[in-house]
Amino acid sequence: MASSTMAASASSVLPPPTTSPSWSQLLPELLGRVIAHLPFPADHARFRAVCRAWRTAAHDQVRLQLPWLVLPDGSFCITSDDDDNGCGGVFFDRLPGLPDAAVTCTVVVGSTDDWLALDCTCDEDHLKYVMGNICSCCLLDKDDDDDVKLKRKPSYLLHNAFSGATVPLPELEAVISSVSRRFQIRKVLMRSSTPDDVIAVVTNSWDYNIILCRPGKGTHVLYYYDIFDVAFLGDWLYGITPNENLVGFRLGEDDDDDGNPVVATTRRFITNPLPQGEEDYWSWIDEQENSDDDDDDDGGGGSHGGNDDDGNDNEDEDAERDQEDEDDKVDDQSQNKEEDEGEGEADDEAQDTEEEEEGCSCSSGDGMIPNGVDVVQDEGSSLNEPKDYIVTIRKLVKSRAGELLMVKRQMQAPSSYSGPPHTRKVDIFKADINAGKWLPVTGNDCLAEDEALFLSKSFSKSVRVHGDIRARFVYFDDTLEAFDTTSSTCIPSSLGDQVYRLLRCSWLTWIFPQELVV
Amino acid sequence: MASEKKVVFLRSSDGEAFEVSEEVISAASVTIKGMIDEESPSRADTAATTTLAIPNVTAATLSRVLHYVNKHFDAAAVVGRPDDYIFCAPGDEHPLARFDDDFVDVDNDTLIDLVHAAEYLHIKKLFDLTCKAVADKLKGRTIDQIRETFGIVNDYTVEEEVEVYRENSWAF
Repeated sequence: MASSTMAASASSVLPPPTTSPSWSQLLPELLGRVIAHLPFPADHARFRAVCRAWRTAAHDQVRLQLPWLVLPDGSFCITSDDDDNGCGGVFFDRLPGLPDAAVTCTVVVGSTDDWLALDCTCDEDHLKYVMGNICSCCLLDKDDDDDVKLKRKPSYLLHNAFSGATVPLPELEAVISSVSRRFQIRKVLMRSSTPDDVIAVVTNSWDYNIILCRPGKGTHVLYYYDIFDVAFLGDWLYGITPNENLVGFRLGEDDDDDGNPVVATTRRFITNPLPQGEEDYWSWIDEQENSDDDDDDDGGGGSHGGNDDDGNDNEDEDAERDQEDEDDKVDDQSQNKEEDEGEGEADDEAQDTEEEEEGCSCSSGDGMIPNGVDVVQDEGSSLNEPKDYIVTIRKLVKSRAGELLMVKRQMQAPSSYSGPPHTRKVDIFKADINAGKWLPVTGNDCLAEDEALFLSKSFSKSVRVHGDIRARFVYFDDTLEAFDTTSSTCIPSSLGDQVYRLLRCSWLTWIFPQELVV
Repeated sequence: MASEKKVVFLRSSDGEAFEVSEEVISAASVTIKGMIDEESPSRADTAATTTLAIPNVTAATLSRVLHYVNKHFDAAAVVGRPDDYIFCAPGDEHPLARFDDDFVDVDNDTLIDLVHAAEYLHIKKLFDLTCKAVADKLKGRTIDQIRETFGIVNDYTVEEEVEVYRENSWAF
């Protein structure tokens, strides 16, 4: 829009005769309240361009927000560090531009920056399930008993929350053709801000642990690596396993020039010792590493349609999967039989989960990839009956300096819903790839002086500090706490009662609006 | 008989008096509650009803405000909980949502009068509602449309306007 036409049209508009105070002379505080109801930065940008008085009001009143929290139904919450009125959160209805809720039941299943990943054929039950799920540890993945295949065929698309752009993902639907209730997408991570680059989709199914998808091109499936969280770094996609192993996949150029994503190299960069008695199912990755260059195929992976017929690389993995499949079949006949060979002395809670999974009555791999969350009873708090749980959560995130960070967070969760969980402690590790180890970092070594982390169940990001974001802080989606890495202290949410509505959601993600000049 | 519901009269800027329950208006308006509290020592020994002057609000606006206040007070009494949106489950429609929508579906002059009245009388929910209604008129609109809707004259110089556009060029 050229400014000359603006000025011309503006001069032709005369203020209507009115006895009321003029709109341009509304008090700045009053305009501030109006601005508070305008979430979108683009509206703020236009607001301040209307006239001088409004620009001044915007300068004084626009609160530079933290990233937005998006709920599964597409509604969102804007929080800010607004200690003045003790209630720095505003809820908004569904983001505009989402598919009509009356026509299709759409659920947000992931996000990257300002993009949302949507499943447009979800059912009402599932939406209710992810929206309102009060339980003792709402931080845990819930295992549904119901493991029957759903009749619906998932339909996925990417939607930009701010530009409104939409990109269908038929390639992804071709891989995830049928799902059970257990099926979950854990993360939809785009390598770059444009949707024509590679997207990593992490699921809880061992049939497709990670799906590398390139919209309009094709997919590449990484079947079973036990990976629950991933981060892109340069040409590599890195993933972590519950044992805190770090596995890397180097994305290569496709020889056929058809733009399909391919994995050129697979390597374990960090391998931690297993609990006694557990077998290392993924040692084959280390063995095949030497023959990387003259090996066309990539361990464990295959383009869609290639199925398991991957040659020698996969022998161990396939054997292992066959073993598990047999376990399933045995369990089919006697549901209660406890077959748990190869499992170590895990804690009771984990054991329960394991049994539940083993006892699944269908052959799908949905729900078979662990979520990297450890749960133990808090033996220290003998006063509390029933005992609290201690929940350990791990996240992988790329720092602004280009290092891989693992944030390991321990939370105290009341066993009954007597109160929200809170963070007990946060440890941050940097991946030292040469030494093959996680190096613990503390204080000022954790994050750069202009850096903050936003961690959520399905999208984590390291950002340059701007607006209300505090430097060297880690923000959590689930408890809405903020952790100061320099002092190792956790600041509780200032949202008061509103926090409960967010805590009731078993799934939240951050999205990042454009940065605004005011 | 002394326990009979007390009423107060509010006199608008143009001299019209409106009767309203003291309980209702005290719960709604921080400003009027303050006025009543100030008056009360002198009222204790007299049966005369109080008349409060509301110099900043016209009769037309005041009657709308009282309609809103009475409606919300009654609804809160029926539901038996603070009529607060926070406690609605996602997707639930608030019982007063439709009333509120209709209430602010008015022309711009009426709306600005309501914003000022809500602010002066310190009725928080009405203030939020009216500010949100103004925000809805701005949402997704071009700058020209906003100026036209609200009758605002562009007082930027060409240089200033170019600068304002440049600062957030992604938004235009």
